[in-house]
Amino acid sequence: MKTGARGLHPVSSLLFFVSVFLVTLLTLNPYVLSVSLFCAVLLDVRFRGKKAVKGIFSFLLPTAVLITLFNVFFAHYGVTVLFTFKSGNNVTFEALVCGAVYAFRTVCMILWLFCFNEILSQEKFLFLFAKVSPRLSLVLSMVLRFLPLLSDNAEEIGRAQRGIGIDSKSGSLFVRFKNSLRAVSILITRSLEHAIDTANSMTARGYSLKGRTNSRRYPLRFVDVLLIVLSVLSCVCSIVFIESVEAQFNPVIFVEPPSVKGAAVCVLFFALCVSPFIFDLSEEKLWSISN
Amino acid sequence: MVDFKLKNLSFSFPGGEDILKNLDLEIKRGEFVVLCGKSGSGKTTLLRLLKPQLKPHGKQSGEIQIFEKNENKVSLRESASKIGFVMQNPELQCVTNTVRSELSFGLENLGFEPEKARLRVAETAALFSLEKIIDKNVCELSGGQKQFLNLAAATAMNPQVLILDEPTSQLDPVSAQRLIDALSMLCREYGVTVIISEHRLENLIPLCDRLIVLENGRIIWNGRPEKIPADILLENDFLRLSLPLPMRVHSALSLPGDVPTDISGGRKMMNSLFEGKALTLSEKKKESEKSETAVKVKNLFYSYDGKEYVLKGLNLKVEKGSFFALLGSNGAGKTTLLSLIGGLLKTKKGKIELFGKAVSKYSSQELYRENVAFLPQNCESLFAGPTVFEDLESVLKNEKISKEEVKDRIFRVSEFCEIKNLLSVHPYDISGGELERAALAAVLLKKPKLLLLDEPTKGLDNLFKKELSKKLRSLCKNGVTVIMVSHDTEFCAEYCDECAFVFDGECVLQKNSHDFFSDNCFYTTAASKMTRGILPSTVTESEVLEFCKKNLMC
Repeated sequence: MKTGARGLHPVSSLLFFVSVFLVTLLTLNPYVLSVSLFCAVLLDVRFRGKKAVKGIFSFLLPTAVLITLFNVFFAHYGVTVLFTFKSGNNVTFEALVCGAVYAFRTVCMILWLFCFNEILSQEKFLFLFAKVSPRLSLVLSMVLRFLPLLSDNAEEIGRAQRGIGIDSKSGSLFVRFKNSLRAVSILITRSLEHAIDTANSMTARGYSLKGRTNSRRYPLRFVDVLLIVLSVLSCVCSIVFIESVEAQFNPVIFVEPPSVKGAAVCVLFFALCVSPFIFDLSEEKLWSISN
Repeated sequence: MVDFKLKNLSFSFPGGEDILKNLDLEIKRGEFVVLCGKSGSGKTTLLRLLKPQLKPHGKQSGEIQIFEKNENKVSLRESASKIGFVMQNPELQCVTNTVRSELSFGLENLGFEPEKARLRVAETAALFSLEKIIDKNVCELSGGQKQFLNLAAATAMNPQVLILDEPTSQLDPVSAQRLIDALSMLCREYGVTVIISEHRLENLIPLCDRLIVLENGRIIWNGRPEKIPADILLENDFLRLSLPLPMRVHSALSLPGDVPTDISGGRKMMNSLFEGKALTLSEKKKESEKSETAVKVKNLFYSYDGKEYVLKGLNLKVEKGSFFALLGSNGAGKTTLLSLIGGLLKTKKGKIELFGKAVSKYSSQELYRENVAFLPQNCESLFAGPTVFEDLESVLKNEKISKEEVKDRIFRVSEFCEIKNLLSVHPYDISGGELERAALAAVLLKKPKLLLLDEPTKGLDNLFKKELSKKLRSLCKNGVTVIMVSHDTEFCAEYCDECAFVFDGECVLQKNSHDFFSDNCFYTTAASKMTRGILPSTVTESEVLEFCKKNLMC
């Protein structure tokens, strides 16, 4: 059993991410996106530490700049011309801002995906599927077992073949192709042969018997209920009040001025996004204080 | 209570001869039974007949009683829950992706309530000390851990019987011992009947209640291992070579008295033979001087991830035409070293010279043609079928030689490896030892000057090992240098010229194999352990026997 935000119930974890992804994709409103980005950075750094910081500066920021530049140079809408190219194309302020907003939304989604990976582990996925069908969940679990096995085998075969001079990485294109084909053929023969053993192991442990159960378990705690309520509220609120958080960049920049409804959307969304982080942090702090 | 009773049982696969012939056998509750026999003697078939779900298709006569009733009256549920089955390959028996789900797989199949299943998983994990790895992904575990998990998963269902078909043949000695210890515990403390087939009998015989020896589908011995009559041992090379060293020595010298099954018994036997006797020392053989260096490794470093170094400044020198062994525990860096020497991994820091030229300076065409050949641990990786012959042919496909010569080379190599009768068979249909020989043939087709072998003796019985060693030795005589990675101290002591001990990424000792094992205190052979302090430096069975004969005759 994992602790902190990683130990959240699968259902609440899933709802949380559905809601966060939906609201983040729903609007280009800079307030909402800032909330989302801020919380995503917080949570990602919390989970992955230095690696996350490194990722943000070495990969995500350059990506954001690149997307912005791309938009600036290839989109020519807008009214505020900054300067004109020799070819006659305008570079506009609107395109710059719009590009930046798109870029940060992309970065934001990538960061959330990293968090998604941490919180919704394979095990939780399988739990969710087991509710739908125990068989389906077993098949998925087997696939998750089989794929690494397959890639290990492929690597081993490649190496073995190279050791007797049948190399798929050197020589002419035709030879390489022929040699890789041989490696794939061995891989398939071997996998099929091995499948018999796995099938026997399953039968030996009574796989074909009737009345299969599932023993995975996740307790539903207070924080899970809270997260579910927040997810639903935030999602509904954003959809209903979508007009109060509207933003447009073409042809002129227009952001809906702050209003009560808009504030409600933002506050709820912030409460939702930040709660896994707070939960994770508080559990650790409470633990260290009580010690 | 009797768990299994076979009455005049014969079995044959469709269209084949009888693979089991008129067996009568009774196995009682709580017995520890070891089954041994050459590959093809019908061991696996016999074991599978004891588990209705895995029963092979074929013609059966005679009767099988399981749990004191006819096999047809044993329900599949009963068979699944009461008879646990563990097979040879640790990798393939894991069905799901995590340790926890693997343990609960069988329980879920039986329809255990979630609460009960979780409790049983917890109990089993505690019994087998799997707590630390309970949430790990199965693909992160080592082979030994996986096989241990397979045993735990079978045990989780609380079986009355555990059947194991060569469970330790793919494992290193430490993991194998751990598995056997667990089996012994299950048998002694929980009354589980254990039926195990195995080639390596050294560790099993001291534990077992009964040894059953199969030959060509017949039981030739069924009883205590130390009571096997001398005439059976004399005419059955396979059986004699499979027994633990103390028993072999006892029988070879035809000594009177109790037969010792383990090392401590062996020491007692040696003590009583030689106590207070003046010993004639055998002369030390002079090593023939060899000068040419085949492989030179200098200050070699290697890391897979750039953080943890597997090899840390390793130095090594291998002479031309020698049979060289790299020994050491798991994760010491042996296989990495072998892959680097063979050019399968790129040298980044340090230097490796093959025949006076750096490995990196060879083109890959040049390297693997008439220079280096690498025999991987898993020989299956070399074969695609449909026949062994076609696989051998394709090894030579990229070389520009006439069809006649290809045939000629294959013919000569298969004669040398004794696989001529296997050429038209599918490579997956032959036994492990035969596949090893076929793989050796594939590798030799390239006429290598340096042959690299990764654990060639894994899963082979002693008779097969002896044959393999003869072939490798004759290659060495013809100037081929052979380097092998191994866990098999007995094999290295008996047949290798030189041994090197790799520990923590360094080569801590390199010596000729006799001195290597007689100087080592703990990492040594059974013969050395048995005779230490009693006889002067004898490390192999043949040395012990030679010494005894010399001193006991006069």
